[in-house]
Amino acid sequence: MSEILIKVENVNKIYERGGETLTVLDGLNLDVPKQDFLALMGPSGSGKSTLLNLMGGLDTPTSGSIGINGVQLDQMNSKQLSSWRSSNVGFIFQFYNLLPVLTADKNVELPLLLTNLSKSQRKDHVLTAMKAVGIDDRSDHKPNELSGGQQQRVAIARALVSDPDILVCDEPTGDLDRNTATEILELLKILNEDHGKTIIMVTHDPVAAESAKRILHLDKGKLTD
Amino acid sequence: MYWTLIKAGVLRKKARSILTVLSVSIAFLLFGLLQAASPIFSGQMEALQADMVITMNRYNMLGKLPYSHVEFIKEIEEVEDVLYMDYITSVSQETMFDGVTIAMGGNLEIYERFKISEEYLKAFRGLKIGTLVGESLAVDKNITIGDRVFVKSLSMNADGTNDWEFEVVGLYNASPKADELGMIVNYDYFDDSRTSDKGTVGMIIAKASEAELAEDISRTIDAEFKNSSWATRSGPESQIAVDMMAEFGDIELIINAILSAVFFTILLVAGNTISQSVRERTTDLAVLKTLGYQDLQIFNMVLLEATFLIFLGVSLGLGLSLLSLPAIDAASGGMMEGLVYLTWNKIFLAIGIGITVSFVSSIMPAYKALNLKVVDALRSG
Repeated sequence: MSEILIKVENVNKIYERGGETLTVLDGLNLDVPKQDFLALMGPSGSGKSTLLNLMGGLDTPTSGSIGINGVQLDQMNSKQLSSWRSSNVGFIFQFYNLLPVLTADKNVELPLLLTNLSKSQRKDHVLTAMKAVGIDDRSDHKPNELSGGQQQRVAIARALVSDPDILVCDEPTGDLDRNTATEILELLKILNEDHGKTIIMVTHDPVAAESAKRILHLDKGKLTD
Repeated sequence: MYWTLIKAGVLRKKARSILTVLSVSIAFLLFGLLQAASPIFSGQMEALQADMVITMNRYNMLGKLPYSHVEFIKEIEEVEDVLYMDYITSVSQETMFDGVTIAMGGNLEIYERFKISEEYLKAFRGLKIGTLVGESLAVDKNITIGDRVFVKSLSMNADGTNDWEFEVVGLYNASPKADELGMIVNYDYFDDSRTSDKGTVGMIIAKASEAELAEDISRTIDAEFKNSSWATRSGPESQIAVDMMAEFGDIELIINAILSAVFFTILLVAGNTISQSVRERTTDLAVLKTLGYQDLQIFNMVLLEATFLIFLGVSLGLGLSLLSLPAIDAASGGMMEGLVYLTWNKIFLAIGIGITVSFVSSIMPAYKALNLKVVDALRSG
C-alpha cells in the first residue's frame, strides 16, 4: 500500500448558527495515500465540501486532527495555513473562479507572485503549466474570451503552476457539458497517473466519480463506505 | 505582486474607476486653483512690501483722512518718507478709462511696486496736469506720451463740471501687472481743483526705516488718532490687504469651507466606490486567499488600490491646475503675475489630503477584506 499522504483522525466540524448547533462532520476518519484519486460523493449537506475545505487547509476542524505529509493543519494559524496552501495545494472550482480582467497566463501566474521567482522564471513555469493542460495557445486571452472547458483548463494550470502534491477539486465538471467534462476528467487522470498528483474531488456526478480510483460516500457527516 | 492585483482591481470596472479618478481630479483642480489664488486673499502677494505702512480711514475703506495726518506720520522718527493718494472715481461708461485714476503726492519713489523712470517722474512733477499711465492700460487703449486723456469723475472740477483733462507725460510699470490698469495724476493739482473733500487723502503710505518697525509705526499712528473723528487703521501692507479682503467676508474661511465640503463629498464617493468594488470582488478575494495570499496582503492590496486611484486623481487635478496657472496668467495679459501661484507647501498639503482620503475611504473595505472567511465567501459567491 502506498504511503499515507493525508490522515484525517476523529474530525468533528460543528457550526453554531442562530443558537443552533449543526454537526457537519461527526468523528470522521480517513486516510488518503499518495497519488490517490479520491471522489467524494453524497447528498447536499452531507459534509463533503467541508471535508474538502479541511483537507485543503481552508478551514480548521472543531476537534480532531488533520495531518498532511507530517504537517498538522489543525495546529496552524491562518497565516501558516495560507503559506502552506500556496505551496502544497492546488484548487479547482466548479465555476473556475478566474480573475476576469487578467489574461489566462496572468491568472496562472497568480500563485507564483507569492514566490521569490524572477519574472522569466515565472514565465517559464506558467508556460509549462499551460502546456501541460493544453491551453498554452490561449495565454493572452481573457476568461470571457474562452469557453467553459478552456477556462477550467486555465484554472487547472493555475492549480498546477506551483507544483503542489495535492489537487483539491470542488465539482470541477459541474458547469461543463458532457464532452468537455470528459476531457477535463481525462486531464485530471493524466495529472494523477503521469504527474503523481494526489487528487480529491467532490462531485455529484457518478460518471465523473468513475474517473477516480476510489469513491467514498458521505452522509450526515460520516463516511458510509 | 501588488501591481498585478491593483491593476486587476482597477480595470475590473473601467468606467467606475475613470469616473472616480475624474471626480477626485476635479476636486484637486478646484483645490489647486483656489489655493493658487489664496495669496490674493491672505496678503501673501509676492509684491507686497513688509516695510510699507498703510494708513486709511478706520471705519470706511474708501473714507477720507485729513492731510494733517500726512504731516504727523512724516514726523515719526522711524518713518523714512511718505506717499499719499486719493482716488478719482470715474464714471466708467462715460470715460475712456476703465482703470483707476489715482492722485498721488509725496515721494512716489518709495513705493517700489510702481516703477517710474526718472525722466517720466521729472516730467510728471513739472506739469500740473501731467499724468503717468500704466503700461498695460496704455497698450490696451493705445495711449502714447503727449496724448490728452479725459476722465468724467464724480468729483466736481473748479469749473463746475465733472470733466478732468490730463496730459500723458510718461508710463509706469507695476507689480502685480493688474496695478498697471490705471493712471497717476498730481495730488496737488487734483486737490486744488476739486470742489469737495479738499485737504483730504484716501490713503497714506509710509516707508519704515526697517521692516520690523512697521508694526510699531502702525500702533503709534492708530494710537494718536484713536479718539479723533478721523480715526485710522494702519498696518503693514500685507496685513491691510487681508483686512481689506475681510471687509467682504473671511474669504479664506469661505474657501476652506468649500474645499472641506468638496473633500468630504469625495471621501464619501471614494469610500462608496471602494466598498462597492470590494463587495463585488468577494469571490476574487476569496480565491486569492485560497491560492495562499495572506489576510494582510489582501488588506494592503485594497488600501493600495484606493491610494492608486486617488493619487491618479490628485496628480491629474494638481497637474491641470499647475498647467492652467500660466494659461490664466497669459489670458489676463500678465495681470495675475505674482498673484496666483502654487507653493510646495500647498502641493504637499494636497498630497497629505490625498493620503488621508485614500486611507479613510478604504480602511473599512480593507478591514472587511482582511476578515473575509474564504469558506463562507466561496460558498456565497
